[in-house]
Amino acid sequence: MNSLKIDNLQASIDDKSILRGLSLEIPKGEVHAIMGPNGSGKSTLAKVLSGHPDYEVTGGTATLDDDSLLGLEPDEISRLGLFLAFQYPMEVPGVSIANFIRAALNARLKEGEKIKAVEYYKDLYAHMDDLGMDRKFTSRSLNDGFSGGEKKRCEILQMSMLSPKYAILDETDSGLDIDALRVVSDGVNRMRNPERGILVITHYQRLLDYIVPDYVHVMSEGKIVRTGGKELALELEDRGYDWIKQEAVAS
Amino acid sequence: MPPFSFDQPQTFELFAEGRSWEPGWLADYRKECWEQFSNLPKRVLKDERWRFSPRARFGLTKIDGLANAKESLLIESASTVDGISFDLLDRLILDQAHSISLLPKISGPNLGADDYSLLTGAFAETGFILRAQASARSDDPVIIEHREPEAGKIAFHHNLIELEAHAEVTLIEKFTAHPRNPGGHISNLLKVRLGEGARLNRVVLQECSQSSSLVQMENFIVGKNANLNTVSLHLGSGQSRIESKGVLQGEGANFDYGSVYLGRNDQLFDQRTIQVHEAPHCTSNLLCKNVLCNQSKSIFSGLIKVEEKAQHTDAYQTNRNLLLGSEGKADSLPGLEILANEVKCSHGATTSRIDPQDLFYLQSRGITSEKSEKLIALGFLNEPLMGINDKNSREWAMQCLESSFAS
Repeated sequence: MNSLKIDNLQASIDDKSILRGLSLEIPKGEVHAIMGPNGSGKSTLAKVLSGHPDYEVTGGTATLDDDSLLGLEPDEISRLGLFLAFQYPMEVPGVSIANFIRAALNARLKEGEKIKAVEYYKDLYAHMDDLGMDRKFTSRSLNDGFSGGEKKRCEILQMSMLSPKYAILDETDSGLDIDALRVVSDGVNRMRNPERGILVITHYQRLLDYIVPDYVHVMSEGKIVRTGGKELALELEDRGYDWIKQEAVAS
Repeated sequence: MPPFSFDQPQTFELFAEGRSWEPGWLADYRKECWEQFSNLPKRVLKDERWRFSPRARFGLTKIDGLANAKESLLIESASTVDGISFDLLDRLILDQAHSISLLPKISGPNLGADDYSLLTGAFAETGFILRAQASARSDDPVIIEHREPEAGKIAFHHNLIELEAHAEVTLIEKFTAHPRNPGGHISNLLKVRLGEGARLNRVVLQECSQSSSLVQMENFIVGKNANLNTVSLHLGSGQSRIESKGVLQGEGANFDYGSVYLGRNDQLFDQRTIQVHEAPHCTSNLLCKNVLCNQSKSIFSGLIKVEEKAQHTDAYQTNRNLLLGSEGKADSLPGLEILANEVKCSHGATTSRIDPQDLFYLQSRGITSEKSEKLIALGFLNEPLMGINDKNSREWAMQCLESSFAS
């Protein structure tokens, strides 16, 4: 199976049910977008798939290719090939970007393998150049004092360095001005390829002008309630979410 | 012969007999220290200067003899610059006694370990003496190694740094473990005087054995427009008591003090500091960061004291503790005593654990929780090391910390 497959997933936090039987399949080579109103459970989905310890999975399955993700530690899920670009990346003082990414790459090496420093920095700089990041960033503390745009670029930098099989981008457009949005979207588009599946979570259609999805899903109250092509996003922009909610209730 | 004990007058008498060749003033000083030590009041239960400290861990009864002084202190790298001398006390006593004449004249920090301070005055056979004449400057650091003596023995080091006007020196002090029979004691008393415009950069790396004891007493007297930058990295020692006093004596003096402690097992780190502002327009900045793993414990007690005439003082004091695991403990007692009215002072102390959201973030990149915690803790401890002026020393200190974490 070459897909990220979620079937009837149910999850809660503090006994409050958030995901209520969500099903979705993202095959490699496709870009899917999830849109939905505040509180519909979009970010929860991203966190549950990434193994966040605050959430309890109460039913359903989630598999990455043939591996079940549920019950695994976040680091195990990451090493299986799932990457989550955070909506609000954490600030970690004293840990430089270069050391952080190197630690993440090291975690993927087999016993006895080593990262060659020269090649690593060459690779890192090349990715930073693509994202228009100053090379001085390598020695800066991870996200510490970064602007919103710098944080999101840093997320995309990590994604491109780790080259995951599947990536979830959680509200990557929030806090970005138009120029930053373009740079970040270009970074994501460069990563589109037949070997990678991407899930973009967003509030707004604007991001999807830059990262054009193959499918758009609408999420409401912990479920996918509608699926369509990229034109669905435009329709939502036009009409809002209420009509979909009402249709969902009616059905 | 009765067993070795600092409670016995013979212990000092025998020692003094063996040092009868020393100049009279030094013999007098030793005797005076010994007498003061003998007259110290028996330990009182409520001594504020030992608050939170399991003081018995620094008890003198565990000591069964004096260390071989020649083996306990070694110069690793001397100075080749004219006007800068870096030598050992025992080599200077006879023919260059003038160069150590300041030793009895400067007091210790007197922040609680009076017993160790006085015993060091009485028994120290060695110590490093770093002196620089006016305007002498060295780019290369001088390096000293304090070696933990064998189990049960105590090494007393009585050290002096005296920089004349506009001299500039970088000093690295290493404290190393006994290679075969660890469990020794070090009592280290350092007295520093910086003349006008002088600059001292000092880096301390302490890697004594987990079964050893260290009592470190430092008194820094900073003259007009002088700069003192000292950063210590404490990685070893079963129990260490650190007493540091910075006196801003001349107008425009600057005192930067950083310390990093990585506690493991049941290590104890007991740190007492005081920043005394005696002159106007001085700045002092103290940053102490501790990471406590396992059952390790840290105590920080610090005071900023601004005297009435020390107007336009800028003084800061920060202690931050990070607990890894559930059994570590950190006690913190920051304090201010301000008599001047135009000052900028702040103090702060925090104790926290790793934020689970930070941990999730690092883990979500594939790094195991154990390694993520280490990375976060390492980052937490990085800040004081960034204050090391000399770039090579800074990188070296960071590497030492990193490899200590890896082990």
